[in-house]
Amino acid sequence: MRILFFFFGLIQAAAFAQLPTKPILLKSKNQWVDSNLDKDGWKYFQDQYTNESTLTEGDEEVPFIPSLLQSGKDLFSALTGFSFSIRRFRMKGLSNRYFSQSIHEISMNQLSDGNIPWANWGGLNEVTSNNQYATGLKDNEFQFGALGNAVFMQLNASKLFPQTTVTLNLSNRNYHQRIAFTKVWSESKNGWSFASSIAYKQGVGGQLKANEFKGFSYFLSIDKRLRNHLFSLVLLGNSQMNTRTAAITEELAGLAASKQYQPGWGLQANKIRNANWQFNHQPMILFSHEYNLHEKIKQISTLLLSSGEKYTTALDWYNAADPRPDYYRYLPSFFTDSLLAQDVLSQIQLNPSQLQINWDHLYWINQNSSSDKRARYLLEDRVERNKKIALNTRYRIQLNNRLLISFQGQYRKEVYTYFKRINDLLGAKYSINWNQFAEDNLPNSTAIQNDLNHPNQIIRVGDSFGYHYAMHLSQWLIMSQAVYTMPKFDLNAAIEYTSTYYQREGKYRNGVFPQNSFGLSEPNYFNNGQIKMGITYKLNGRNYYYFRTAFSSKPPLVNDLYISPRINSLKQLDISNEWAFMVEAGYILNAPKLKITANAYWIRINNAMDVMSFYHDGYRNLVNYNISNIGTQMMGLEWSMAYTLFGGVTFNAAMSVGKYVYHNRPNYSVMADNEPYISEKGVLYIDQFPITGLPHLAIYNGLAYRSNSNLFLNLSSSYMGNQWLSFNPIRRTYDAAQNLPIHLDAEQIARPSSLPNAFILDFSAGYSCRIKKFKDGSAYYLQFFLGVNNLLNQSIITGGYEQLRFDIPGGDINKFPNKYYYSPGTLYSLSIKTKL
Amino acid sequence: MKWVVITKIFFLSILLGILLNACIKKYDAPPIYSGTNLKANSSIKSLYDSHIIGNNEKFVDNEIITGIVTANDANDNFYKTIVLQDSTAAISIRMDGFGLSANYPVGMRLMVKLNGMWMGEYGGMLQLGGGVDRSDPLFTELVPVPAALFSKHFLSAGMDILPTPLEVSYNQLQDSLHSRLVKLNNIEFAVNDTAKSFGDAINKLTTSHSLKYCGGGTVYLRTSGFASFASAKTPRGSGSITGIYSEFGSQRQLMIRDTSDVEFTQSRCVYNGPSVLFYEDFEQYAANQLLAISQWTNIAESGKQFYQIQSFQNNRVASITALGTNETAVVSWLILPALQLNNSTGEQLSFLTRDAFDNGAGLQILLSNNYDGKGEPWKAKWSSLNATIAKGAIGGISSVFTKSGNINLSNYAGLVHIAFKYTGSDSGPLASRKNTNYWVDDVKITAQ
Repeated sequence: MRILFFFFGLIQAAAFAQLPTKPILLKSKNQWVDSNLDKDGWKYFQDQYTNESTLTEGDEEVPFIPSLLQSGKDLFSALTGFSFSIRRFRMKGLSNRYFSQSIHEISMNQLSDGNIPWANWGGLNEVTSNNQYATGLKDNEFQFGALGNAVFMQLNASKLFPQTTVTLNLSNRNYHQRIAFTKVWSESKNGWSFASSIAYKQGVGGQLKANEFKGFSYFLSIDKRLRNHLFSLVLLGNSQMNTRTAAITEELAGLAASKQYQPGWGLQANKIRNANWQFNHQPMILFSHEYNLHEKIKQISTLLLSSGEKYTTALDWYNAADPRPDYYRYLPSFFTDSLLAQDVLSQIQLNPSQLQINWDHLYWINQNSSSDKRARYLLEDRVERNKKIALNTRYRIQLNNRLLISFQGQYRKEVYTYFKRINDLLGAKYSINWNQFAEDNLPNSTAIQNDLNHPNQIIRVGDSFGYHYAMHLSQWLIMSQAVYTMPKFDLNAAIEYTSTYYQREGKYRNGVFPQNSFGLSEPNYFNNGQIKMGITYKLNGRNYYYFRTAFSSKPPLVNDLYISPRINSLKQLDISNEWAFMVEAGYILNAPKLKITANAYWIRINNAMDVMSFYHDGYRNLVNYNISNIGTQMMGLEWSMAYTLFGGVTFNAAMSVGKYVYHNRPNYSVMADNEPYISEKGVLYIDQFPITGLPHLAIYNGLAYRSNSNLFLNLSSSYMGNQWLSFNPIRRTYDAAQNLPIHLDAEQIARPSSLPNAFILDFSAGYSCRIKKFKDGSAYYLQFFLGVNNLLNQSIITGGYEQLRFDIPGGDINKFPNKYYYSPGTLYSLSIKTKL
Repeated sequence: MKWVVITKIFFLSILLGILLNACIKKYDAPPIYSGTNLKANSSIKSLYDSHIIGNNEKFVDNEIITGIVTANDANDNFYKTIVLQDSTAAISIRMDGFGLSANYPVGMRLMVKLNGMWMGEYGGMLQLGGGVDRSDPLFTELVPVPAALFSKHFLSAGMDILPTPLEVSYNQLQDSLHSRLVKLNNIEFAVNDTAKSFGDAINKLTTSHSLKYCGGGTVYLRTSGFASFASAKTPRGSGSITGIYSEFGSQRQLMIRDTSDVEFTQSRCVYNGPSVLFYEDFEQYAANQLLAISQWTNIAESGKQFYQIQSFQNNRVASITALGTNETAVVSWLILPALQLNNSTGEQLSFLTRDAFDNGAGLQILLSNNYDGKGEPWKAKWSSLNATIAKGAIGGISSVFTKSGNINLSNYAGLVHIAFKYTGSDSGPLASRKNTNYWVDDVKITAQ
């Protein structure tokens, strides 16, 4: 029985058991008893790799939400999170904004895009494991929650497990070494608690030749308990600079004879240089106050201050050839003439360096461009700076031992500033703040000025250019929740009201939009609400049945509201609140030898909005597809099981099967970036299209073994199928179908692009031993964790997209073929940890 | 005490972080490319010498030419083209890329490895390209060198001294100067072409403006609507102009790199010498269509046969034949726009003709003082002009155009009409049919 418990320390099956607010310190002979320790090791072990693809892949793809693998409360997430993340599995097919994360009850989901900025606290795995989870519509005591799931992170020093650890990680992933030092002191007699952690990660090269990674993260938490008050201060941050990867076409993989081919780098003076980097550093500081003002009433308040910057780098060019070696006009497939295609093919095969950036040549061009060395090429930073302030207060009232009520109020203000900045002039002396795409608009007009307030501005390294604007976003919310516990039934209900405000502030007066680019725009206000209810029937201590439902209304994301905020303040014409309705019902069995969870759900989302911006070959311009009235419907079943066979061997299985579709024809309109009018309008023919970017069917099977409390082994397989690539809206319009050559069927271009099914094997192992024991009962422990992903060393496609270009006259979908991200084969990581 | 330790560790760690981050390396600027050691083994002129008119030829040996870039797409007047010149000749190279000026600035010495490239004609001009488009077997076309092959064929040998533009008079403008950087002195825009936009920047169309030598002779300045200076205005004065010389059909053309090539600093020419009153070479009309030119009259008096625009060896002509009509009498008129002779003196008419499968049909050149221009020329009185007309190409197409000779019109006055009249037949026994095909080109009327 005890062994079983160890094992599920990893799994933490009981979906309703709450973590004790303060971990109980177990000082038994065998430290494996401490499930926290076990969990801890697993946590950072899995955690740090799950978000990796989000952090490094190009910005074309919406980052996926890692599921709840942080030793989640529910069995399904705990089993599948690590393995399914390779295909960007998202629970219930929901979009990012339906997954929430909060730190000290302050929502981390950005008001700008709804995403959770994982990188802000990345690398601090030793101290960020004190989380609570609510999957689906399950009740929680902190916030309303989310339809997908909600994670509540606690960073108070007094709530962390006292420890002194040094961790060394070795891996062949995008970083290769990580070293971390963590010390958590136990609470002193006069009520002080301290915790600190620092970690450094780095990696150069590896499976991706031009990979580079550097990250430094820090954490400090101080608590002071004063009678019935607990004051907390938390400071944390992660400064990280790493290279990004891009999706590639099958043709490129073939030309380079490697699926690990990356076009974003080249040699400069015989050294590898990557053009695509990203940087993120967003320190935050939290002041919290917990106050038991009455034996039944607790007040928890937190103030968050945060400010930081992130940017991605990219090449920019002016009046010069496209420097990206994977540009479609440089590849054999571009040529209809077979002789030329053959010539180009053999040229590339004889000169593989042609598939990489030729930095030396870019420098040469810049230094010979004109007598005063005006830049033709430059490396730009696309910067997002933000400042956030948030205040949250919650009252927790335990009226009696049956009824728990909480009231929450939260105010958040976030200001994002976006601009481009010159990172490197690549040997040139200066550039001019002009918009080359507007050069053709009207010759010799002021249209080419990016900023009419500073025309013909000479720009150098560190200067901003291109676009410059700020988004002022704020939201306040009030929420109330009640949980009523009866002998056979649990009831819960919550209601939330939010008021949201968006406003753009242009810092440039754009030459094409002089009237509506500079200064403050008309603000937008949205009032929304959410309500949810749930009932659980407790047959006995082992069998639970539940039914939950919710209605949710959310404002459109500001990024889906403004058509082209980089250069003007125009908004979509058809602005609507997004609303969702969800029901779910499930069964949980929590027997000693067998644990089962099963959950069925049905979700309908209406009136969502989106803006897609991309270079359109037909318009020869950057265009914005404004999509509104998007409706989606998700229904499916999540099922998981853990069965103890004999000894320490457990069989685990999980499955998610769903049907996630668009259920109507959204409206779209098209506006080119440099033309102030709508050039095209219509509906997208995507009714019953699958929702893309995640597997609709995912199956997990695993065998786990644990022996003698200090060794465990886990071998698992995952199968993921029914997945489609994010789609190109141009191909699903009336115009595309009408302009097709006569011999082509519209169905051929409109059909969703599917991904091959994937089957992977993963292995993990853990081992712990005691090195030295002290008289007071504490001891030095050495722990090893090894994880091997993708044992079969397959280069499977992890995701991708249909290129947002389409051969309208020819109707040939292979002219601009799909782009894929490939996994780099077998990945291992080993962690060695000494722990006092 | 604990507090101190924590603070120490914390600040130490921050310091460590700063140090580590400071290690992010700054990139070295690469050494400047010093050029290739490749040596040329052929000259541009030898390309012209080896070329057979009308053919597209692939280079299969390791010919290497070198030259200096004299024009590129820097101001978008030249499109996907650079011009290379050595001491012997010059040639245009078609390259499939944008921003060529960044790679191949004017003044760069370029080595071109010809192996695998093609040469062929465009409008009678020899060009280098990357391949041949044979999708229309009747009209094969050179295609530009793909960008992926630039590094295979084109190697920089560093910057060099730009060749001095060759100063040429009107009569010196000839085929051997194709693609050469030339300088035309004592020249001005025709009165109607002054203060006009160089190109049509609104509709993005190429525009032709007449440049008149003070001493006589017209060269056409062609400017793309995409050129950055397209909307600049042509100057009124006279002076010298530098540019790349070309011919299209028989028209002499010039293209400038940018407006600094036009140095019209003097006042307009004091006029002496002949001026062109009228000129038509049919080049701007689509081939294989009925000739329909504004102010011209194309009439079938009998036999329902009209003059056509046809293209042969990239040269467009007006063509007439009775062949295929099965008519006993084919009489077709092609009447030039009315010509006022009162405002000039010493007028002369000249044109070119070429015959094919000559079997005795007639082509006359006629002049009328009293034709009313209403489409019934047979009602007017015409007098025949004395011109040399092509004849005698019995079994095929004549190899050359026949010059009409200078026909003196100074004996006529007032408003006159000039017409070509074709007379033939296409019925009865083969031997009695008269269905010669005549081509007319380069109709020109000058005055002193």
